[in-house]
Amino acid sequence: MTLLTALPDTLSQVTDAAHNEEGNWIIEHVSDHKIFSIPPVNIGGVNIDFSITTNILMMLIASTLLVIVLTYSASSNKKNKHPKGLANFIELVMLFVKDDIVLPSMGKIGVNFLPFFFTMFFFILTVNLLGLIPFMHTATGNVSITASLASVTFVMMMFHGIKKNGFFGYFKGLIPHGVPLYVLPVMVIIEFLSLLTKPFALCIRLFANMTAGHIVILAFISLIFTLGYVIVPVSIAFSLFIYLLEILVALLQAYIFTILSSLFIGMAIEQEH
Amino acid sequence: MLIANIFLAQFYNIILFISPQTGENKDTLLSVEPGLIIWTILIFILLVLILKKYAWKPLLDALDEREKGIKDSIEKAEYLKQEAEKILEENKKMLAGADEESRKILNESKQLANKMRTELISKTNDDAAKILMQAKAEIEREKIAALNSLKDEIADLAVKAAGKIIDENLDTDKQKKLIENFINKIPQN
Repeated sequence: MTLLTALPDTLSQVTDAAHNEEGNWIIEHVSDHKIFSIPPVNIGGVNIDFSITTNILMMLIASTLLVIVLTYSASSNKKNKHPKGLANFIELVMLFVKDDIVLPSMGKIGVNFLPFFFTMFFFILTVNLLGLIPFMHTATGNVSITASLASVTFVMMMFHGIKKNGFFGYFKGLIPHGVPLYVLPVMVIIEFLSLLTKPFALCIRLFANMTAGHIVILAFISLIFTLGYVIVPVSIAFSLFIYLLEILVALLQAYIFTILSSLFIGMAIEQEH
Repeated sequence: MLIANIFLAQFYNIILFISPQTGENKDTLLSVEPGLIIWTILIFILLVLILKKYAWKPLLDALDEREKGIKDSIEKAEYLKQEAEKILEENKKMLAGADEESRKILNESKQLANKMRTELISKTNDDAAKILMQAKAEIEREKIAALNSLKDEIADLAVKAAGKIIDENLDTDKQKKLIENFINKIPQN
């Protein structure tokens, strides 16, 4: 009874809180900020803002880091007969991506796509991990960025699928053989939707996974300010736990994004239906 | 109740801000920004191209080279192992042969030595027996000769003594015969 009577009260409080934008700082924290403004460019009637934002900065930092580290390990591997230190670790990760992600899901043709998947894995992993460092920003926690990465996968799927099977062959291959004629219209719609769902799922999965952890950590920290210092040990313990979980998630999501991309591209090239 | 309120408020806030708001130009979590997308694709494609040329190719080449090297050395090690086993087998065979050989030689030499020893012993025995017999024969002969000469001597002495004693000139031949007859009647020894 008390719950029922309290409900309207609670709801009004909630909406008040929302209108007062008390929790906005969490969103503020995980969303993008401009750090270097460039006036919008009008391309085809759409104003596109090319300003450098924190996310772009983070991606540039990650890319620079990757270029430096990887070229260093490449030269180090060329010099040494057997890899040492950092280069050895990089090679270990490369072998993992090669033997446990790309080749099992794509087969032998995967060898041609190795540089693409290496870059994808290392880029997502680096961006994910950079986001865990204090004062840094998780670029993969932005839906535009994950959407662009997913669209790269989508374009690769379409391009290589059409290149291998021909334009009509590719779209015909999407529909399974032996489908009765009266189911065909439905199947066309379903297969077309599934084609679009693949990159969409990739995009949302990475974005949500990378954002959720941050929001949970921030919510635990915000409990300190709303409930007082009594809650500090609980907040810190749980934040730490979520933080450790986020390290796992950062690794896992890079792995999942790469393995699904390789699977999708492999499926587009070798249509089994 | 308070905690529930706060959580609900935050949840509501998040939902409110995640959902895209059309019309307003406001930052939300799900708002898609073309500028950011173009930047991301640009950065990613450039990264792929740069890393492909300067990092992945050399790294993969080094990896392949090393993989090949490892494969080669394993094959070589396998080959060498087989070779070594073959040599070991041969050595063992040779060693066994040598053992057999030495045993044979030893046996042969033992047999030879035994044979020689028995031969030598029998020969020595024969020789000794022969020498003994010869010596016995010699002694016998000497003894007979000595007896004969003694007989002659005694006969002569007896003739001379008898001649002196009886001083009678007898026919020596007759006397000799007589004495010989006498001596012969004397038992031997």
